[in-house]
Amino acid sequence: MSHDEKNPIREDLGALRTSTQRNLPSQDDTAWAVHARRVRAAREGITMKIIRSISRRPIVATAFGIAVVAVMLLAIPISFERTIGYEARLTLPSVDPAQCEGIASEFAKVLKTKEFNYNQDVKEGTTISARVPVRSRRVIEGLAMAYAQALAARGISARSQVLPVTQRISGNVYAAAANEIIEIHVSRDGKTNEQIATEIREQLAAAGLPGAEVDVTQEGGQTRMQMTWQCPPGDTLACEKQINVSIDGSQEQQQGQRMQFKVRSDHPMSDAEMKAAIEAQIRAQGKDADVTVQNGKVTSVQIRK
Amino acid sequence: MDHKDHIDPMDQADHTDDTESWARLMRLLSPLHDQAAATARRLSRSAADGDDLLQETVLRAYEKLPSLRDEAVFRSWFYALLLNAHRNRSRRGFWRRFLSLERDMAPGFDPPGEGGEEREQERRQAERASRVLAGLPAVQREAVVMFEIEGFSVEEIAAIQKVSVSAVKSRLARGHDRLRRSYERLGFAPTPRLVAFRRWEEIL
Repeated sequence: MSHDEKNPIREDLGALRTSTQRNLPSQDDTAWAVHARRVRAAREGITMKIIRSISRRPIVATAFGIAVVAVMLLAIPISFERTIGYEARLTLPSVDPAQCEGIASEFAKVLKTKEFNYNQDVKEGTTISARVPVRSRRVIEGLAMAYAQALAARGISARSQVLPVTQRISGNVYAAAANEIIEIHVSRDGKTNEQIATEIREQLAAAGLPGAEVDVTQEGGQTRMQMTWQCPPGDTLACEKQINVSIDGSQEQQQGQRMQFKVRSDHPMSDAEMKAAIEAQIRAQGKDADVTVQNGKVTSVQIRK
Repeated sequence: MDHKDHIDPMDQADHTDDTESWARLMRLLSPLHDQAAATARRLSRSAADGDDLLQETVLRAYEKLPSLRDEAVFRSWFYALLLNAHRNRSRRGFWRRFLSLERDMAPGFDPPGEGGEEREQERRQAERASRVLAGLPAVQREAVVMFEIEGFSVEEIAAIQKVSVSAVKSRLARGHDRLRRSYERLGFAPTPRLVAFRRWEEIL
Protein backbone atom coordinates (compact mmCIF):
# COMPACT_ATOMS: atom_id res chain seq x y z
CA MET A 1 0.00 0.00 0.00
CA SER A 2 1.61 3.27 -1.07
CA HIS A 3 1.83 6.40 1.07
CA ASP A 4 -0.16 8.38 -1.46
CA GLU A 5 -3.04 5.98 -1.52
CA LYS A 6 -6.39 7.57 -0.66
CA ASN A 7 -8.06 6.60 2.55
CA PRO A 8 -11.09 7.92 4.46
CA ILE A 9 -9.20 9.59 7.31
CA ARG A 10 -6.91 11.51 5.03
CA GLU A 11 -9.77 12.45 2.69
CA ASP A 12 -12.01 13.57 5.55
CA LEU A 13 -9.28 15.72 7.09
CA GLY A 14 -8.68 17.22 3.63
CA ALA A 15 -12.42 17.94 3.29
CA LEU A 16 -12.41 19.58 6.73
CA ARG A 17 -9.45 21.72 5.67
CA THR A 18 -11.20 22.87 2.50
CA SER A 19 -14.70 23.40 3.87
CA THR A 20 -13.55 25.44 6.86
CA GLN A 21 -11.73 27.86 4.60
CA ARG A 22 -14.91 28.99 2.91
CA ASN A 23 -17.08 31.89 4.06
CA LEU A 24 -14.66 32.88 6.80
CA PRO A 25 -15.57 36.02 8.74
CA SER A 26 -13.58 39.08 7.76
CA GLN A 27 -11.33 40.71 10.31
CA ASP A 28 -13.85 43.58 10.55
CA ASP A 29 -16.63 41.14 11.34
CA THR A 30 -14.51 39.62 14.09
CA ALA A 31 -13.65 43.06 15.45
CA TRP A 32 -17.31 44.08 15.64
CA ALA A 33 -18.28 40.82 17.28
CA VAL A 34 -15.51 41.23 19.87
CA HIS A 35 -16.71 44.73 20.70
CA ALA A 36 -20.25 43.46 21.10
CA ARG A 37 -18.96 40.85 23.54
CA ARG A 38 -17.11 43.51 25.49
CA VAL A 39 -20.26 45.57 25.79
CA ARG A 40 -22.22 42.52 26.97
CA ALA A 41 -19.47 41.59 29.44
CA ALA A 42 -19.44 45.12 30.86
CA ARG A 43 -23.19 44.91 31.50
CA GLU A 44 -22.99 41.44 32.99
CA GLY A 45 -23.51 41.15 36.73
CA ILE A 46 -21.09 39.57 39.19
CA THR A 47 -23.31 36.45 39.45
CA MET A 48 -22.98 35.70 35.75
CA LYS A 49 -19.23 36.25 35.97
CA ILE A 50 -18.97 33.75 38.83
CA ILE A 51 -21.15 31.20 37.01
CA ARG A 52 -19.07 31.62 33.87
CA SER A 53 -15.86 31.20 35.84
CA ILE A 54 -17.12 28.08 37.66
CA SER A 55 -18.46 26.51 34.48
CA ARG A 56 -14.92 26.53 33.11
CA ARG A 57 -13.72 24.42 36.05
CA PRO A 58 -15.89 21.32 36.39
CA ILE A 59 -13.81 19.76 39.18
CA VAL A 60 -13.90 22.93 41.28
CA ALA A 61 -17.61 23.27 40.54
CA THR A 62 -18.27 19.68 41.59
CA ALA A 63 -16.30 20.12 44.83
CA PHE A 64 -18.15 23.38 45.48
CA GLY A 65 -21.48 21.66 44.88
CA ILE A 66 -20.63 18.82 47.27
CA ALA A 67 -19.55 21.32 49.92
CA VAL A 68 -22.80 23.25 49.53
CA VAL A 69 -24.85 20.05 49.84
CA ALA A 70 -22.85 18.99 52.93
CA VAL A 71 -23.42 22.36 54.59
CA MET A 72 -27.12 22.20 53.73
CA LEU A 73 -27.42 18.71 55.20
CA LEU A 74 -25.86 19.90 58.42
CA ALA A 75 -27.66 23.23 58.59
CA ILE A 76 -31.15 22.54 57.26
CA PRO A 77 -33.34 20.59 59.68
CA ILE A 78 -35.07 17.51 58.38
CA SER A 79 -37.93 15.70 59.96
CA PHE A 80 -37.38 12.09 61.00
CA GLU A 81 -39.11 9.51 63.15
CA ARG A 82 -37.65 7.77 66.13
CA THR A 83 -39.10 4.89 68.11
CA ILE A 84 -39.94 5.87 71.66
CA GLY A 85 -41.67 2.66 72.73
CA TYR A 86 -43.90 -0.19 71.65
CA GLU A 87 -47.54 -1.01 71.90
CA ALA A 88 -48.16 -4.71 72.51
CA ARG A 89 -51.66 -5.80 71.57
CA LEU A 90 -53.46 -8.93 72.53
CA THR A 91 -56.65 -9.70 70.63
CA LEU A 92 -59.05 -12.11 72.29
CA PRO A 93 -61.91 -12.95 69.89
CA SER A 94 -64.03 -14.76 72.46
CA VAL A 95 -63.39 -14.14 76.07
CA ASP A 96 -65.63 -13.69 79.03
CA PRO A 97 -65.75 -9.91 79.75
CA ALA A 98 -65.32 -10.68 83.43
CA GLN A 99 -61.88 -12.20 82.69
CA CYS A 100 -60.61 -9.20 80.72
CA GLU A 101 -59.40 -7.17 83.67
CA GLY A 102 -57.37 -10.09 85.03
CA ILE A 103 -55.84 -10.99 81.66
CA ALA A 104 -54.96 -7.36 80.96
CA SER A 105 -53.13 -6.93 84.25
CA GLU A 106 -51.32 -10.26 83.75
CA PHE A 107 -50.28 -9.19 80.28
CA ALA A 108 -48.99 -5.87 81.61
CA LYS A 109 -47.10 -7.67 84.37
CA VAL A 110 -45.42 -9.98 81.85
CA LEU A 111 -44.36 -6.95 79.86
CA LYS A 112 -43.27 -5.16 83.03
CA THR A 113 -45.41 -2.12 82.41
CA LYS A 114 -48.19 -0.39 84.24
CA GLU A 115 -49.66 1.37 81.22
CA PHE A 116 -52.42 -0.76 79.75
CA ASN A 117 -56.04 -0.59 78.70
CA TYR A 118 -58.56 -2.83 77.02
CA ASN A 119 -61.35 -2.33 74.59
CA GLN A 120 -64.30 -4.58 73.94
CA ASP A 121 -65.88 -4.76 70.52
CA VAL A 122 -68.77 -6.95 69.44
CA LYS A 123 -67.18 -7.85 66.13
CA GLU A 124 -63.44 -7.88 66.90
CA GLY A 125 -63.62 -9.16 70.44
CA THR A 126 -61.44 -7.77 73.20
CA THR A 127 -58.19 -5.94 72.47
CA ILE A 128 -55.73 -5.38 75.30
CA SER A 129 -53.06 -2.77 74.64
CA ALA A 130 -49.99 -2.30 76.79
CA ARG A 131 -47.54 0.54 76.27
CA VAL A 132 -43.94 -0.55 76.80
CA PRO A 133 -40.95 1.84 76.91
CA VAL A 134 -38.15 1.31 74.40
CA ARG A 135 -36.60 -2.14 74.64
CA SER A 136 -35.73 -4.77 72.08
CA ARG A 137 -38.75 -5.33 69.89
CA ARG A 138 -37.90 -9.01 69.58
CA VAL A 139 -37.98 -9.40 73.37
CA ILE A 140 -41.39 -7.73 73.59
CA GLU A 141 -42.71 -9.83 70.70
CA GLY A 142 -41.34 -12.96 72.39
CA LEU A 143 -42.99 -12.10 75.71
CA ALA A 144 -46.33 -11.22 74.08
CA MET A 145 -46.31 -14.40 72.02
CA ALA A 146 -45.37 -16.52 75.01
CA TYR A 147 -48.26 -15.05 76.99
CA ALA A 148 -50.66 -15.67 74.08
CA GLN A 149 -49.49 -19.30 74.03
CA ALA A 150 -49.94 -19.55 77.81
CA LEU A 151 -53.53 -18.29 77.37
CA ALA A 152 -54.11 -20.85 74.61
CA ALA A 153 -52.97 -23.56 77.04
CA ARG A 154 -55.68 -22.28 79.39
CA GLY A 155 -58.22 -22.58 76.57
CA ILE A 156 -58.37 -18.87 75.70
CA SER A 157 -57.69 -18.06 72.07
CA ALA A 158 -55.44 -14.99 71.70
CA ARG A 159 -53.40 -13.27 68.99
CA SER A 160 -50.43 -10.98 69.81
CA GLN A 161 -49.06 -8.05 67.85
CA VAL A 162 -46.35 -5.49 68.62
CA LEU A 163 -46.33 -2.06 66.97
CA PRO A 164 -43.71 0.65 67.38
CA VAL A 165 -44.73 3.96 68.91
CA THR A 166 -42.87 6.65 67.02
CA GLN A 167 -42.25 10.31 67.55
CA ARG A 168 -41.53 12.73 64.72
CA ILE A 169 -38.70 15.08 65.56
CA SER A 170 -36.70 17.62 63.65
CA GLY A 171 -32.92 17.78 63.36
CA ASN A 172 -30.15 17.82 60.79
CA VAL A 173 -28.89 14.72 59.01
CA TYR A 174 -25.96 14.41 61.39
CA ALA A 175 -28.32 14.44 64.35
CA ALA A 176 -30.49 11.80 62.68
CA ALA A 177 -27.47 9.54 62.18
CA ALA A 178 -26.06 10.28 65.61
CA ASN A 179 -29.42 9.31 67.08
CA GLU A 180 -28.79 5.74 65.99
CA ILE A 181 -25.09 5.00 66.24
CA ILE A 182 -22.23 5.69 68.62
CA GLU A 183 -18.86 5.09 67.03
CA ILE A 184 -15.98 4.19 69.35
CA HIS A 185 -12.46 4.04 67.92
CA VAL A 186 -9.50 2.87 69.97
CA SER A 187 -6.02 1.75 69.08
CA ARG A 188 -4.13 -0.93 70.98
CA ASP A 189 -0.73 0.64 70.43
CA GLY A 190 0.88 -1.17 73.41
CA LYS A 191 -1.96 -0.30 75.78
CA THR A 192 -3.11 -2.58 78.54
CA ASN A 193 -6.67 -3.90 78.59
CA GLU A 194 -7.48 -1.48 81.41
CA GLN A 195 -6.18 1.48 79.38
CA ILE A 196 -8.31 0.41 76.41
CA ALA A 197 -11.33 0.08 78.72
CA THR A 198 -10.70 3.57 80.10
CA GLU A 199 -10.49 4.98 76.59
CA ILE A 200 -13.81 3.35 75.62
CA ARG A 201 -15.41 4.64 78.85
CA GLU A 202 -14.27 8.17 78.04
CA GLN A 203 -15.63 7.98 74.51
CA LEU A 204 -18.95 6.60 75.72
CA ALA A 205 -19.19 9.44 78.22
CA ALA A 206 -18.43 11.95 75.46
CA ALA A 207 -21.24 10.36 73.40
CA GLY A 208 -23.75 10.87 76.19
CA LEU A 209 -23.44 7.61 78.16
CA PRO A 210 -21.55 8.55 81.30
CA GLY A 211 -20.72 6.04 84.03
CA ALA A 212 -20.44 3.04 81.72
CA GLU A 213 -18.64 0.00 83.03
CA VAL A 214 -16.25 -1.40 80.48
CA ASP A 215 -14.29 -4.57 80.86
CA VAL A 216 -11.73 -5.70 78.28
CA THR A 217 -10.12 -9.13 78.52
CA GLN A 218 -8.09 -11.38 76.27
CA GLU A 219 -9.36 -14.92 75.79
CA GLY A 220 -7.52 -17.35 73.51
CA GLY A 221 -6.01 -14.58 71.41
CA GLN A 222 -9.37 -12.80 71.06
CA THR A 223 -10.48 -9.60 72.66
CA ARG A 224 -13.65 -9.75 74.71
CA MET A 225 -15.40 -6.56 75.62
CA GLN A 226 -18.23 -6.17 78.06
CA MET A 227 -19.92 -2.83 78.33
CA THR A 228 -22.64 -2.01 80.82
CA TRP A 229 -24.26 1.36 81.07
CA GLN A 230 -27.36 2.93 82.47
CA CYS A 231 -29.62 5.07 80.37
CA PRO A 232 -29.34 8.69 81.48
CA PRO A 233 -32.51 9.77 83.35
CA GLY A 234 -35.19 10.85 80.90
CA ASP A 235 -33.32 9.54 77.87
CA THR A 236 -34.39 5.95 77.32
CA LEU A 237 -33.35 6.31 73.67
CA ALA A 238 -29.73 6.15 74.72
CA CYS A 239 -30.28 2.44 75.33
CA GLU A 240 -31.51 1.94 71.79
CA LYS A 241 -28.35 3.26 70.19
CA GLN A 242 -26.09 0.89 68.36
CA ILE A 243 -22.51 1.06 69.58
CA ASN A 244 -19.82 0.26 67.04
CA VAL A 245 -16.38 -0.33 68.51
CA SER A 246 -13.32 -0.55 66.33
CA ILE A 247 -9.93 -1.53 67.66
CA ASP A 248 -6.96 -0.64 65.45
CA GLY A 249 -9.40 0.18 62.67
CA SER A 250 -11.25 -3.15 62.55
CA GLN A 251 -14.83 -3.45 63.72
CA GLU A 252 -15.29 -5.91 66.52
CA GLN A 253 -18.58 -7.23 65.22
CA GLN A 254 -16.99 -8.19 61.94
CA GLN A 255 -14.58 -10.50 63.71
CA GLY A 256 -16.54 -11.89 66.58
CA GLN A 257 -19.98 -12.23 68.06
CA ARG A 258 -21.99 -9.37 69.37
CA MET A 259 -24.58 -9.72 72.05
CA GLN A 260 -26.62 -6.97 73.54
CA PHE A 261 -29.05 -7.33 76.39
CA LYS A 262 -30.83 -4.94 78.70
CA VAL A 263 -31.90 -5.10 82.29
CA ARG A 264 -34.32 -2.56 83.65
CA SER A 265 -32.96 -0.89 86.75
CA ASP A 266 -36.44 0.30 87.79
CA HIS A 267 -37.50 -3.33 88.30
CA PRO A 268 -35.05 -4.78 90.84
CA MET A 269 -34.33 -8.46 90.21
CA SER A 270 -32.56 -11.23 92.01
CA ASP A 271 -29.41 -12.67 90.44
CA ALA A 272 -31.41 -15.70 89.22
CA GLU A 273 -34.12 -13.50 87.67
CA MET A 274 -31.50 -11.35 86.00
CA LYS A 275 -29.72 -14.45 84.66
CA ALA A 276 -33.02 -15.77 83.26
CA ALA A 277 -33.93 -12.41 81.71
CA ILE A 278 -30.53 -12.05 80.05
CA GLU A 279 -30.50 -15.62 78.77
CA ALA A 280 -34.00 -15.06 77.34
CA GLN A 281 -32.78 -11.95 75.53
CA ILE A 282 -29.79 -13.82 74.15
CA ARG A 283 -32.07 -16.64 73.02
CA ALA A 284 -34.19 -14.03 71.26
CA GLN A 285 -31.01 -13.04 69.39
CA GLY A 286 -30.64 -16.63 68.17
CA LYS A 287 -27.96 -17.91 70.59
CA ASP A 288 -27.84 -20.02 73.71
CA ALA A 289 -25.68 -18.83 76.57
CA ASP A 290 -24.75 -19.53 80.17
CA VAL A 291 -24.84 -16.28 82.07
CA THR A 292 -23.36 -15.87 85.53
CA VAL A 293 -24.68 -13.02 87.66
CA GLN A 294 -23.22 -12.18 91.05
CA ASN A 295 -24.56 -9.41 93.27
CA GLY A 296 -26.51 -7.85 90.41
CA LYS A 297 -23.56 -7.84 88.03
CA VAL A 298 -22.93 -10.01 85.00
CA THR A 299 -19.60 -11.73 85.58
CA SER A 300 -19.52 -14.03 82.55
CA VAL A 301 -21.41 -14.90 79.41
CA GLN A 302 -20.52 -18.20 77.75
CA ILE A 303 -22.11 -18.64 74.35
CA ARG A 304 -22.97 -22.26 73.60
CA LYS A 305 -22.44 -23.44 70.04
CA MET B 1 -31.05 46.79 11.54
CA ASP B 2 -27.44 45.72 11.09
CA HIS B 3 -25.74 45.13 14.42
CA LYS B 4 -22.93 47.44 13.32
CA ASP B 5 -25.40 50.36 13.34
CA HIS B 6 -25.90 50.36 17.07
CA ILE B 7 -22.55 49.25 18.46
CA ASP B 8 -19.82 51.79 18.51
CA PRO B 9 -16.45 50.00 18.44
CA MET B 10 -14.93 52.78 20.46
CA ASP B 11 -17.55 53.02 23.18
CA GLN B 12 -15.53 50.71 25.38
CA ALA B 13 -12.18 51.97 24.15
CA ASP B 14 -12.45 55.70 24.31
CA HIS B 15 -9.06 56.19 25.93
CA THR B 16 -6.14 56.79 23.64
CA ASP B 17 -4.21 53.87 25.11
CA ASP B 18 -7.08 51.50 24.40
CA THR B 19 -7.41 52.75 20.86
CA GLU B 20 -3.72 52.34 20.23
CA SER B 21 -3.72 48.92 21.77
CA TRP B 22 -6.68 47.84 19.64
CA ALA B 23 -5.07 49.22 16.48
CA ARG B 24 -1.86 47.39 17.31
CA LEU B 25 -3.75 44.11 17.77
CA MET B 26 -5.61 44.53 14.50
CA ARG B 27 -2.37 45.23 12.69
CA LEU B 28 -0.66 42.16 14.13
CA LEU B 29 -3.71 39.97 13.57
CA SER B 30 -4.25 41.01 9.98
CA PRO B 31 -1.90 38.49 8.26
CA LEU B 32 -3.03 35.75 10.61
CA HIS B 33 -6.77 36.32 10.90
CA ASP B 34 -8.06 33.99 8.20
CA GLN B 35 -5.83 31.10 9.18
CA ALA B 36 -6.74 31.53 12.85
CA ALA B 37 -10.45 31.69 11.95
CA ALA B 38 -10.12 28.44 9.97
CA THR B 39 -8.16 26.77 12.79
CA ALA B 40 -10.83 27.81 15.30
CA ARG B 41 -13.53 26.23 13.11
CA ARG B 42 -11.48 23.05 12.71
CA LEU B 43 -11.14 22.71 16.46
CA SER B 44 -14.88 23.22 16.97
CA ARG B 45 -18.00 21.24 16.21
CA SER B 46 -19.60 23.95 14.09
CA ALA B 47 -18.68 27.08 12.20
CA ALA B 48 -20.58 29.21 14.71
CA ASP B 49 -18.67 27.63 17.61
CA GLY B 50 -15.41 28.21 15.76
CA ASP B 51 -16.19 31.90 15.15
CA ASP B 52 -17.13 32.25 18.80
CA LEU B 53 -13.81 30.69 19.82
CA LEU B 54 -11.92 33.13 17.60
CA GLN B 55 -13.76 36.11 19.09
CA GLU B 56 -13.01 34.93 22.61
CA THR B 57 -9.33 34.58 21.67
CA VAL B 58 -9.17 38.06 20.14
CA LEU B 59 -10.75 39.51 23.26
CA ARG B 60 -8.21 37.67 25.43
CA ALA B 61 -5.39 38.86 23.16
CA TYR B 62 -6.57 42.45 23.50
CA GLU B 63 -6.52 42.17 27.30
CA LYS B 64 -3.09 40.57 27.34
CA LEU B 65 -1.47 42.56 24.55
CA PRO B 66 0.53 44.85 26.88
CA SER B 67 2.44 41.74 28.03
CA LEU B 68 3.59 40.98 24.45
CA ARG B 69 7.08 42.46 24.16
CA ASP B 70 8.34 40.82 20.97
CA GLU B 71 5.93 41.22 18.07
CA ALA B 72 7.90 38.65 16.08
CA VAL B 73 6.41 35.89 18.22
CA PHE B 74 2.83 37.16 17.86
CA ARG B 75 1.75 34.15 15.78
CA SER B 76 2.71 31.52 18.35
CA TRP B 77 1.53 33.82 21.19
CA PHE B 78 -1.89 34.22 19.58
CA TYR B 79 -2.17 30.52 18.82
CA ALA B 80 -1.28 29.70 22.43
CA LEU B 81 -4.21 31.91 23.51
CA LEU B 82 -6.44 30.22 20.94
CA LEU B 83 -5.60 26.75 22.22
CA ASN B 84 -6.02 27.90 25.79
CA ALA B 85 -9.49 29.24 25.04
CA HIS B 86 -10.26 26.01 23.19
CA ARG B 87 -9.32 23.94 26.26
CA ASN B 88 -11.46 26.15 28.50
CA ARG B 89 -14.39 25.65 26.17
CA SER B 90 -13.80 21.90 26.14
CA ARG B 91 -14.06 21.91 29.92
CA ARG B 92 -17.26 23.91 29.66
CA GLY B 93 -18.52 21.22 27.32
CA PHE B 94 -18.40 18.87 30.32
CA TRP B 95 -21.68 20.40 31.51
CA ARG B 96 -23.33 20.30 28.11
CA ARG B 97 -23.31 16.52 28.06
CA PHE B 98 -25.72 16.63 31.02
CA LEU B 99 -27.89 19.34 29.57
CA SER B 100 -28.73 18.88 25.95
CA LEU B 101 -27.95 17.05 22.77
CA GLU B 102 -28.81 20.12 20.77
CA ARG B 103 -25.20 21.03 20.21
CA ASP B 104 -24.34 17.63 18.77
CA MET B 105 -27.31 17.81 16.47
CA ALA B 106 -26.56 21.30 15.24
CA PRO B 107 -25.45 21.56 11.63
CA GLY B 108 -21.70 21.38 11.41
CA PHE B 109 -20.69 23.55 8.51
CA ASP B 110 -22.14 25.79 5.89
CA PRO B 111 -24.41 24.16 3.32
CA PRO B 112 -22.89 23.45 -0.05
CA GLY B 113 -24.73 26.06 -2.11
CA GLU B 114 -24.26 25.70 -5.85
CA GLY B 115 -21.37 23.22 -5.76
CA GLY B 116 -23.64 20.24 -6.21
CA GLU B 117 -22.84 16.69 -5.26
CA GLU B 118 -19.13 17.22 -4.84
CA ARG B 119 -19.72 19.91 -2.25
CA GLU B 120 -22.30 17.79 -0.47
CA GLN B 121 -19.85 14.90 -0.34
CA GLU B 122 -17.17 17.22 1.03
CA ARG B 123 -19.57 18.56 3.64
CA ARG B 124 -20.38 15.06 4.82
CA GLN B 125 -16.71 14.13 5.03
CA ALA B 126 -15.84 17.33 6.90
CA GLU B 127 -18.67 16.76 9.32
CA ARG B 128 -17.50 13.21 9.96
CA ALA B 129 -13.93 14.36 10.56
CA SER B 130 -15.19 17.07 12.87
CA ARG B 131 -17.31 14.61 14.82
CA VAL B 132 -14.46 12.14 15.21
CA LEU B 133 -12.00 14.88 16.19
CA ALA B 134 -14.48 16.04 18.84
CA GLY B 135 -14.10 12.63 20.47
CA LEU B 136 -10.41 13.24 21.15
CA PRO B 137 -9.13 14.83 24.35
CA ALA B 138 -8.62 18.57 23.73
CA VAL B 139 -4.80 18.47 23.67
CA GLN B 140 -4.73 15.56 21.22
CA ARG B 141 -7.34 17.25 19.00
CA GLU B 142 -5.21 20.40 18.96
CA ALA B 143 -2.05 18.47 18.10
CA VAL B 144 -3.71 16.56 15.26
CA VAL B 145 -5.42 19.63 13.77
CA MET B 146 -2.32 21.81 14.02
CA PHE B 147 -0.07 19.10 12.56
CA GLU B 148 -2.23 17.38 9.97
CA ILE B 149 -4.37 20.27 8.76
CA GLU B 150 -2.58 23.50 9.63
CA GLY B 151 0.86 22.20 8.72
CA PHE B 152 2.66 23.29 11.88
CA SER B 153 5.87 21.43 12.76
CA VAL B 154 6.13 19.36 15.92
CA GLU B 155 8.53 21.96 17.35
CA GLU B 156 6.09 24.81 16.65
CA ILE B 157 3.24 22.92 18.28
CA ALA B 158 5.46 22.22 21.30
CA ALA B 159 6.13 25.95 21.65
CA ILE B 160 2.45 26.83 21.31
CA GLN B 161 1.19 24.09 23.64
CA LYS B 162 4.09 24.86 26.02
CA VAL B 163 5.17 21.22 26.29
CA SER B 164 8.18 19.20 25.12
CA VAL B 165 8.59 17.90 21.59
CA SER B 166 8.25 14.32 22.82
CA ALA B 167 4.98 15.20 24.56
CA VAL B 168 3.61 16.53 21.27
CA LYS B 169 4.75 13.38 19.46
CA SER B 170 3.02 11.30 22.07
CA ARG B 171 -0.19 13.35 21.73
CA LEU B 172 -0.06 12.99 17.98
CA ALA B 173 0.53 9.24 18.14
CA ARG B 174 -2.34 8.75 20.58
CA GLY B 175 -4.60 11.08 18.63
CA HIS B 176 -3.84 9.24 15.41
CA ASP B 177 -4.58 5.88 17.03
CA ARG B 178 -7.87 7.11 18.43
CA LEU B 179 -8.87 8.53 15.06
CA ARG B 180 -8.08 5.21 13.36
CA ARG B 181 -10.08 3.29 15.95
CA SER B 182 -13.01 5.70 15.59
CA TYR B 183 -13.05 5.17 11.84
CA GLU B 184 -12.92 1.41 12.31
CA ARG B 185 -15.94 1.70 14.60
CA LEU B 186 -17.69 3.66 11.85
CA GLY B 187 -17.24 0.63 9.61
CA PHE B 188 -14.11 1.61 7.66
CA ALA B 189 -11.39 -0.97 7.08
CA PRO B 190 -8.33 -0.70 9.37
CA THR B 191 -5.79 1.68 7.89
CA PRO B 192 -2.03 1.67 8.56
CA ARG B 193 -0.77 4.91 10.13
CA LEU B 194 1.47 5.62 7.15
CA VAL B 195 -1.53 5.61 4.84
CA ALA B 196 -3.96 7.35 7.15
CA PHE B 197 -1.75 10.32 7.98
CA ARG B 198 0.12 12.36 5.44
CA ARG B 199 2.93 13.34 7.82
CA TRP B 200 3.16 10.28 10.05
CA GLU B 201 6.82 9.67 9.20
CA GLU B 202 7.76 13.10 10.58
CA ILE B 203 6.84 12.13 14.09
CA LEU B 204 8.70 8.82 14.15
